[in-house]
Amino acid sequence: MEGTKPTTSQAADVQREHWRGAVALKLELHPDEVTTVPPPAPLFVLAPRLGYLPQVAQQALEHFGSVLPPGENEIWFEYQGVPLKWHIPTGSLFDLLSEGDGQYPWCLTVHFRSYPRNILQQVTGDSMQASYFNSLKESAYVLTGSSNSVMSLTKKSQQELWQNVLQSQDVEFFANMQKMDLAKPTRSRIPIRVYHREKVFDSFTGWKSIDYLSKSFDIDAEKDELTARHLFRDCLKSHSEEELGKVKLVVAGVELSLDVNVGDMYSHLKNADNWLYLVLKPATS
Amino acid sequence: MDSPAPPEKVVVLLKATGDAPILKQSKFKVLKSESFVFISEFLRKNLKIDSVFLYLNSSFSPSLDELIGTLHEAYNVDGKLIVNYSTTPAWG
Repeated sequence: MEGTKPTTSQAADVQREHWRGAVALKLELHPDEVTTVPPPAPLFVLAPRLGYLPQVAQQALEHFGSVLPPGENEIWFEYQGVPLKWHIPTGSLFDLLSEGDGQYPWCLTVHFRSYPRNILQQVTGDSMQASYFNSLKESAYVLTGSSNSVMSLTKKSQQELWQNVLQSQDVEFFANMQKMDLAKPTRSRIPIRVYHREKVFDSFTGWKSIDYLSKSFDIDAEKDELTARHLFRDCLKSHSEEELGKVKLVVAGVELSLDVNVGDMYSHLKNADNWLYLVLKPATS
Repeated sequence: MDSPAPPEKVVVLLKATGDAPILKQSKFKVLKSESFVFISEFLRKNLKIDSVFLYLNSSFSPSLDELIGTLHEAYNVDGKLIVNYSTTPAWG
């Protein structure tokens, strides 16, 4: 990516791969919710990177449903004791929390009871869709100065776009964005979300030790060469050059140099909600 | 470099939408370091309601762990962060 601009067909390949990406999950039911001996086998499932964890809820319920204690089913996921915020796209969650190149598939504990309401947004009915469109509205505001383009979508258009996201149909998705007039930035600001895990997992203490920043960046104005390094220098004030040497940048599952142009990353690796998700984590992890 | 320290607080304007009760005072100064959840807790306590839906600039809801300072920087209108609140979902 450095120096040379990708050709159109390379760009299309990157987009397709980005949209096809998935994280292999190994789901085990939490022992407190197992009512049978022996406990149920784990479930192996692919979760789309650009989607959200509850997308696998149906499959998980079919697999584990018969052993659950009586009660209402509310699915949530946990990794190393940390409840996973499902409104963060699955790929970015994995990039942020998984430990280096060690464990794959990603082993998560799945729960259907005792939903941690104080930590996680609730998943009810179409809340995944609502969360997606809310995110899309926010990015539209950054890109055009108004969310009207998204708010004026009909129910039918919303459904269509959401189905494209759920089914990872990139070609249809971008055609719909074009058709629905959602693809036209009117200013040179881009929406970026940065998640920064400072600690290796041994000492990780949950969401409190993760810095999160959602920001709009001006990629124009003499900053033709705005790189990730500039961006982090700007937004992570505590970061000296030396400290920046200790982190690695992961975007869409790929480790990238801090000198990659931010505008290029945005064009090719943004998510379906038009946000670019950047993950910073310890270089050793 | 001894540039003056930026103000620690920003102005937040709370606007009722739909049937939501109206506050006696709608303009507040809020610490930049507070999370957005501070606003929702404040409203729930002051209006004595169980749930409240919040929107910025009559459009989107930021995540509750977003910092007020960051939101103000990105979305302020004439220096004010305009938060619409409602007891039922609006602007779906």
